[in-house]
Amino acid sequence: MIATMQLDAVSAVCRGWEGVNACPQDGATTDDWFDATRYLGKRGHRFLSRPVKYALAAARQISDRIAGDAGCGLYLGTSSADAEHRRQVMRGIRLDQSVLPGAASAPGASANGPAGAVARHYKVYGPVMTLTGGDDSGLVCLWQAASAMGRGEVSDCLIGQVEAVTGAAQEDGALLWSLRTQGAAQAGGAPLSDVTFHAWQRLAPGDLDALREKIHETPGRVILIARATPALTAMAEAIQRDVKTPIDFEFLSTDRLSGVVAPDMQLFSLLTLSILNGSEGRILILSQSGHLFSLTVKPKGTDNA
Amino acid sequence: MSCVVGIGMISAIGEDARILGSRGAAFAPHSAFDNPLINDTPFVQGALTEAQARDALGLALTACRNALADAGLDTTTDKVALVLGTGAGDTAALENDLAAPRPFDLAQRLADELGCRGVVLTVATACSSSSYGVALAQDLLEQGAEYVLLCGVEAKSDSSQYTFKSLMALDPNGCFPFQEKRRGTVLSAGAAALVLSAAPAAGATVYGEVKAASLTCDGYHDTAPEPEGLAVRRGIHEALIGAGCSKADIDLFIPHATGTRLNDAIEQRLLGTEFGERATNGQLRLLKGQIGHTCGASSAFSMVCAAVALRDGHANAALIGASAFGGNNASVVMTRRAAALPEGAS
Repeated sequence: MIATMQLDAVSAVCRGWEGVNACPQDGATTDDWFDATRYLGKRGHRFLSRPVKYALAAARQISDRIAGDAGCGLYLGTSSADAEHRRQVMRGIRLDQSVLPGAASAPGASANGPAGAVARHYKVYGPVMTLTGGDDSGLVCLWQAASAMGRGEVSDCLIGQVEAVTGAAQEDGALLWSLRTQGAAQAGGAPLSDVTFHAWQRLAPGDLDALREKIHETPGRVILIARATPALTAMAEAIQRDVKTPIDFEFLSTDRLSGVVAPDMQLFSLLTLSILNGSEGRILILSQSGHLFSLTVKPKGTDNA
Repeated sequence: MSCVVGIGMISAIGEDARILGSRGAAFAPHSAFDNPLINDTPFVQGALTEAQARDALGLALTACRNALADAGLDTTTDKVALVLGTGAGDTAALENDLAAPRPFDLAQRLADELGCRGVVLTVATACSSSSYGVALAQDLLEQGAEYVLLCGVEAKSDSSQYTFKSLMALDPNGCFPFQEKRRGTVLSAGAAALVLSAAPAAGATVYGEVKAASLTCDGYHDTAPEPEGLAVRRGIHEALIGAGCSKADIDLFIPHATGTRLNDAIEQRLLGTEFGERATNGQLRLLKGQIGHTCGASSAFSMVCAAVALRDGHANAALIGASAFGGNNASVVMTRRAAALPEGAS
């Protein structure tokens, strides 16, 4: 076990999912759903990239939870934060000079731009980092937050993910967690849950035997979060039908978040929703790169004995 | 704490880590871009072909294979985790296909090519990426990883070059870190890799130990460093404490030293204030004057350079600095292995 942390609040700024500790809303939304002035005021964001605006907007919703000192960290995952800016540069130097971004927009070329902007705005002086990758960058951020808290490097932090994929679906946005050391007093409302990060490992591609073994050796209720494949779905159904060695097992497929958040944000988002919905017990999360994350969540208010 | 048991690199000066940091091996920057909007900007390409310089995966594979061979590891039997530090990743893939999704799968492809079976992650804190990577590698080792392959890589990129040009951060005359004539940096391409282990096998070559890595943030500006260097100074102090070293123990300094006026002024002043003349006139290695600024890979080159100096007995303890857009700073302390230190040194 690496560390147990206290999840204080969740901030979502995505199409169809906005607010603090809120779940996705049903109903029609438009492609131009994001109005930066609603979150950031009328000035000061003209040259910011969309990922930076999303991250700042999400941070602002939980700004009362950000300590802003040397003991505060920030770990932000992304697989797309610099894409829009770099594409615009390439269009400008190849096709149309009039669209070339100027120096004021240059931070948009860095995947680290959203993390840097949040750190600057909220005076986060501890470790601030951007972890990139496929669909598990937010979960790697959770690992790093647990590691830093476990060794006492930070006492509180923001973690999360920001994506701007650009396309018809407009599934981009930001999702942030406010975390602090377990049991620490916090500003704002009551904490949501304790989150224990146990371990992560990398399974060989398609090694469902190792996954099945992991599920069976995990004590108590087990929730598996993963992108559904025919083989994985069949394995999950077989475990649920197994009367010889019955276990309390549930499989949550990322399919349910299609059209709500970008594919690369779905694992982290589904974990978040499980916690907001009061899930308790062990959660295993399998990413497309084969990483298997093992967590325990315990909603606040349940018996901690 | 971890031990460096293998190193590898590829840069404008080739693949020989022994000449990294030596004088006289530098290549003059020259314009190397087809596009008229950036062909007036400098770039240090040196021994790298155009195809090599643009190929982030190829660069990383070369450095990593060199490092794994140097460590004598076989990824089919030795379980190796991979930490990749890069500012921009596989920029060629993005720049060659503006409609495709942004590929940030470089680490995954690298791990698959190398047969690494441990966890794989990528840190992208711009020009400080690799030194943030060493902190992540330390965590993995403390949590039970057998070996961690740390690789910093940056490829030649039109969009990066234009961005630095737009910031007027490039010096067409060359990269002159800590010199009065400096006017900016010169970008370059390359990759550097280190194999780290918490418990090296008997008989393994140990270059040195990574004793501590301190990460701090300016929280000041998106691209400019905080002028007083407060977070950098705090990071240096934290790294020294974490390493159990005093200021007097440090006898090799490899600062970020990009050749930009503000960054260098802050670092030069801090080193002078904290360590005195020996930090500015003595064992000071300014790598970007030799191989150019390899951005996210730059501090991996610094660690490789320190590892060689520590192994060869040219230094007992090295302080490596890195700073980046976003206000990210890192200070890393590396020392000779305890058994190799002269009596009285810590």
